[in-house]
Amino acid sequence: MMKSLIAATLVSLTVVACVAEDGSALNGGRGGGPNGDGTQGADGTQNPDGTNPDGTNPDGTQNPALCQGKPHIGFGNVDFVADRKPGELGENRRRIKPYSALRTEFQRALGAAPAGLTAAAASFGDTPARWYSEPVAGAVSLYSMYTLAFTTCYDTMTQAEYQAAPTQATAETECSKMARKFWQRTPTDEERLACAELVVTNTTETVARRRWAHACASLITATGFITF
Amino acid sequence: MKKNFSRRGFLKMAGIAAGAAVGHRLPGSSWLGEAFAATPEPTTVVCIFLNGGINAIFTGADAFTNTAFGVTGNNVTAMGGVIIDTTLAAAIPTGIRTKVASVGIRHGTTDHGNAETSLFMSGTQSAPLVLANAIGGNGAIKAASVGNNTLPNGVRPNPVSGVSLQPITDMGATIEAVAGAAMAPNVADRPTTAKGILAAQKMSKPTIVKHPKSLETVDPALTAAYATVSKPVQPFSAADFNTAYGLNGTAVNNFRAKMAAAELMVRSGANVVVAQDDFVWDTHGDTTGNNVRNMMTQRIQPGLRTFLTRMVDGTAAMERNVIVAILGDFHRSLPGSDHQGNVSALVIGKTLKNATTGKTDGNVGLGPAVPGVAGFWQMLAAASKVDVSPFGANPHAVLA
Repeated sequence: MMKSLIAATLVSLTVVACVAEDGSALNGGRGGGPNGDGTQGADGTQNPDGTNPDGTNPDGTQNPALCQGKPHIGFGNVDFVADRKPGELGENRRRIKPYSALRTEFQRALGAAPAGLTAAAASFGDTPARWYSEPVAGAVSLYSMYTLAFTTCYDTMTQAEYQAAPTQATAETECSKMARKFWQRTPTDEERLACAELVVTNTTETVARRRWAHACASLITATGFITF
Repeated sequence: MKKNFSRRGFLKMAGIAAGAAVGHRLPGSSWLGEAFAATPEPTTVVCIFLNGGINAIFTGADAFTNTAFGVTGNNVTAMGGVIIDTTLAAAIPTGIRTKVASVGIRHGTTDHGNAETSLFMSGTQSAPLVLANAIGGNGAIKAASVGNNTLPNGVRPNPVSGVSLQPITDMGATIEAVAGAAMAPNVADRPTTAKGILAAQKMSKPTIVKHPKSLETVDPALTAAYATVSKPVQPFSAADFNTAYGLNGTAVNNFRAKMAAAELMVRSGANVVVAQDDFVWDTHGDTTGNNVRNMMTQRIQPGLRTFLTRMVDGTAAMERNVIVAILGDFHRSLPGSDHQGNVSALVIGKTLKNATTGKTDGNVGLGPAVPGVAGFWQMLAAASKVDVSPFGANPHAVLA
């Protein structure tokens, strides 16, 4: 009996240890697998295309082109599914977050929802009650997203680090931190540098806190935040 | 050998060589590289689509005098050779009634989905986007759908040469985007916002590449958002629109608001605007035409009249070329007001000749020589005065 108990405990601990090695499973990070955003390469766990370092697919999902399906022969001996074309892995997977999700998402990312979010509802598209409408991105909705985010970012960026003018090093560090929180994944080098470039080089803004707020708003307007 | 010389090319060369802003389409500092205009003046085609169908009494009522749909000599209005039901005529200012044409479209389709989709297609491309691209200019948003995210039948068209369809669902946010917001410490400034949107686009690229189908609207939207905030601000007031169109708010959720949003987009430089009314025009059994007359009076007429008065009539005609086309899935057939395999559009604009190719016979039929969908769009292109023929030869030269 005691031997069985010890064995079961050891097995359980082993399982927990294995799970603990999967960072994404613990810290809410996404991006793994063929259906994720495929940017975990920066963590060294996966390639940017979502595959394992050895090129294999992490969850074993096969290319849909390999799954031919069954023929459906109809009148005239014609296979009426013969012209169906398989899509690419993940090409139609990631979705734009609906307006109804934004309040809690802003709350999660910034600790506060924009005061103007309710008034801006129409700019994200009005879905009639009891209907579902696939959200789409538009110039006006993304502009609204940016401006709402900027105001909320500015209002919440009261910490000392955001009162100092950014340097390349601090910009990269803070951009990385913000992206990790907003997007729930580690940004790639290219993404981190794009954000840092904005805050260090691409603005003549003289108020440090506003520079940081622009970086924050830009990250919020990117697909890392507006999609899931 | 055909010489490759056009008005578009001439203006482009002239703009670069002279270093001068050729007219109103070249404002601000970002005109280099945009110094072409395919039309000689600001031009917008506004396409009003009645989801479900359009009774032929609104495009050629005299085909049914004392025979069908309740048409008599007393409920129609003659505008030259174009005779239409008075409920729609009441929306057309007297001064532009000689600029009304009726265009026939033999699409041969009697089911809603196919009709709605095919009327807005040019081969595999989106016809409104092809036209918006041909019109040219430097508007930040060249094609807009007011009050809807899509074209009829839920179609989300692929961009054409970088021209994408942008949804306009809120006047307030749109005005803020083109007019700018009042400055405050926690309000984003336009120059850095433009850079920030560019950075967001750069950061979004890898995800869009991996999910191109479900995120197909993101990159064009970021491009259009960047273009919008990069333009010099244009003064607009939501209060002015509310007063003119009798609105209570800025949400684009009824037809009057859609016409107000259409005006906003016309004035901000859009080339094509699509305004759909709800799917209430599938008027089976409306043999007297009273149902569609009531809807035309109550739903369409107020906003359309205001729009035509402000954007097409009087001094507006000296400032821009705005063409309004009104159509639906198909005509209503006889005897039961069901689905006819053709449709005509009523088109209004200063470049239109007062004539018709869209008058049906007494059984709502159009002759075998009446062109199809491409002919309709080329007629709009001709009325827009574009210097190309993106839809082929214009079979409606009698109209524009």
